[in-house]
Amino acid sequence: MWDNFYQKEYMSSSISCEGEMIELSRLKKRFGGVVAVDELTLNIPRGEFFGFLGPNGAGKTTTIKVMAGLLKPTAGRVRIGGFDVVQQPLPAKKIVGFIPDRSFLYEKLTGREFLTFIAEVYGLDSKSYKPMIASLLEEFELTPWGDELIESYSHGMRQRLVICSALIHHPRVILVDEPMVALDPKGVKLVKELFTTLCQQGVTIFMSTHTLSLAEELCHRIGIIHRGRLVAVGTREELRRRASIPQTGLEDIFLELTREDESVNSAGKDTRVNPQA
Amino acid sequence: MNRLILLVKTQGLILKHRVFHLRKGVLFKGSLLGSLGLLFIAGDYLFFHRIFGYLNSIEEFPLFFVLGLTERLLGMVFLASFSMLLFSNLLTSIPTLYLSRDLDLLMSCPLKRGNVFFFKWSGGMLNSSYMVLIFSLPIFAAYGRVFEAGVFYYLMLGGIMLLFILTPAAIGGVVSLSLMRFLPAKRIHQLLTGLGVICLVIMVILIRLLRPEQLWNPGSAEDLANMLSSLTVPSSPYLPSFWATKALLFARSGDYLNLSRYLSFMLVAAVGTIGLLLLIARKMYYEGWASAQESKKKSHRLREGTLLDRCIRGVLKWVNPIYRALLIKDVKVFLRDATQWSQLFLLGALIFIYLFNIKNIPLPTPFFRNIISFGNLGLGGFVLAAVAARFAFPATSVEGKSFWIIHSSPIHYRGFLWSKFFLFVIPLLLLAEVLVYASNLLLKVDSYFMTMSLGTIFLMSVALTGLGVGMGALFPRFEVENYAKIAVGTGGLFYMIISLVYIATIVGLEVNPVYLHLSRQLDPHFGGWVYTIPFYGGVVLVSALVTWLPMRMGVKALQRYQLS
Repeated sequence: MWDNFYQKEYMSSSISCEGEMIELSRLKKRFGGVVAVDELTLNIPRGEFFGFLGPNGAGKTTTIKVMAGLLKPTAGRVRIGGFDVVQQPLPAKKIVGFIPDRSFLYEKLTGREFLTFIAEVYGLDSKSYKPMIASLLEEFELTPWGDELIESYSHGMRQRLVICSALIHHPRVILVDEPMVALDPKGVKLVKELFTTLCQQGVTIFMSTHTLSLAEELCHRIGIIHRGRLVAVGTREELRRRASIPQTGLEDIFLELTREDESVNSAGKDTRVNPQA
Repeated sequence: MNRLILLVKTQGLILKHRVFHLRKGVLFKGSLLGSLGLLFIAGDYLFFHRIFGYLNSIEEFPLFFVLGLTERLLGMVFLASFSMLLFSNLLTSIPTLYLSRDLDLLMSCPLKRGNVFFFKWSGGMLNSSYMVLIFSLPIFAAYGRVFEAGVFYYLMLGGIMLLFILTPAAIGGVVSLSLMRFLPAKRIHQLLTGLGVICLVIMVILIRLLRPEQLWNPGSAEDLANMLSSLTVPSSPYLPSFWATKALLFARSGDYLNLSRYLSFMLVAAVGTIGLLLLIARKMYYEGWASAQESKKKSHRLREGTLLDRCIRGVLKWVNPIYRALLIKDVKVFLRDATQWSQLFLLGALIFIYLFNIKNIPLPTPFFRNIISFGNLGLGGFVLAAVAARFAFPATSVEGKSFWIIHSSPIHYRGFLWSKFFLFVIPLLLLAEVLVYASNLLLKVDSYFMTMSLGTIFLMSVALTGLGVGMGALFPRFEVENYAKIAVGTGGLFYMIISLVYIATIVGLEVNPVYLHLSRQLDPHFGGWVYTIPFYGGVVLVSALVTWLPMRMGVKALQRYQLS
């Protein structure tokens, strides 16, 4: 199913497929006196699988929520597919598929009805979305439960349904926060394959995760955020060089780069690495 | 026992944080509601102080007769309180004992199930009883004050009330535990809520038939005495309310022997029912709780393209597909969520009580009927505002934690909010028009009043829906899970205040045209209809503003909303 997922879409697409799909420019988000995201600058090109890592409370979910239009930035700019998420929220949202970490859904709708609702909200017509819903439910092994109320779904089934809903409108950008939470090994394998294939078809994926092995396996580039600031960004090799620990895994790199350090604590600035270098 | 103390201490800690770590908005709301509560307590006290004072001051009646009447009144208060306690405990025991979220944690901890049960049951008892205590204690304080009771009376009052709340709480628990053997928890809760609404209607009708307004301003002492004598209070000597009444009377008169007798009855009843409750809980509680967990997971299979689905799609064929999707979603969620549609029963009861009251108003002349009809317009508006507070105001908040779906979707908030508006304006219009039409038929008003009332209530329905939906979006409460509690907040309070001001403005604007019409009835040459145009124009203009402005503000607020 995933092999031809975007073929027709891109042929008729009016959105530029070239250049940066995600642009974060000096993004800042403050909650009262707490700075959750500080001066975050990132550019992610089309078709890149970008992993966003960081300790608890580092600002990962806040960044994703700003990108999805759920939060407004205090300063800076976010552009998705060339659309500013504050100035042009509707065209930006149209090309985004958002998968949150906690899947609160309409409990009193069935899985199929929920997907129908999402498809109609994204302006798809019933001729195109009905077979798509059937395929998605089949692919995510939800067909037997498709006509049951979501309230009876397990956590994993809800997560699968959210992923289906994020894909139904063929998004150019997928924003995903901790995708593997609650998924069984089969579900994890399915999602990994899906994301890899979609990236090959030109979809840009921005994934926040704690699962370092997942990021290591799937992501083209990885960004590490700590105390709201991007402390490093690059491929695994580049990060290893920056952390000055040769021949090691992502876990050691991550721990080294997010180590409690006076240089970070005192000024809120990391002097060790140039994140965008 | 130590574990039980730990649970109580933790609950105390939560309560302390709730009280001492209030956010600004909550603090404001708390002080506002607190002030209203104090006003209510003061009003309650003064009302009964006046009645007891009046009874005490009637010189033509012998003392024993006055005391007899007082006993009857107190008996009525205790009986009403007992019924309310019983009902309230029945209603809260299922959600408290079986559906609370903290039960998952408590049941998984190394705690005795008996301790968990006792902790939850006693918490539920306090929750169910405090309102009844707030209402009844000022009455007993007024009684003590008028009949010059000593400190002993007030000390005993505390003990009597404590024993008084235990028995209905235990009975409520026993009934709930027993019902859980046969029905799923949610079904019992709905059943009890339905029964409660019916009881409420019956109670209102009974109170209405008593004509309580006569208590406040009795024509003569004999009228009052006749009224009190006609109260057929069930005074069975086996009812806890009877024992409590007697205990209170003997506490005032200082008859220690009889006081201890009735206190013992109350104590035995409380200990007996609680003993029975604990015994049943030991046998049934865990099994009931476990089956409640299973019923939560029970699946409901619904075929695609059901009759309901096709009907809604057919009716909304002309609507923009995106907003049609929103409307279909809202209708389905409403009809499938018992906590939402069950409020319709309350609405039915409200209409019944309303029309019942209208029917019982004495109407000596056509002139008086028309005046009442005009007043009824304001009252109808108020009922409409209350209904809109229950249904239209929560329209945005009811999205709950799923609001991220809307917020991250390419939806225009203007369309989102107006789709909510249209969802509620049609049923509210129907309700209001039927209510006013039926009232006017009962009042036998003339065609002018009928037309004016129907036109005005039409505008009011539209305006109050716009105000409700708009302000609901201005003050969203996505975190509140209980649908009925969404309007109980700062936004809901503002909505009610603005609604009342709006209704008063509309009624005020129509006073002049009504005056002209009534004057023309007396003198057909009186004034021309042209003078009414600015006033009716004002009604249309104000209603349009009250519809549009809050909707616009609501749209802006949602566009700015940040979902953290």
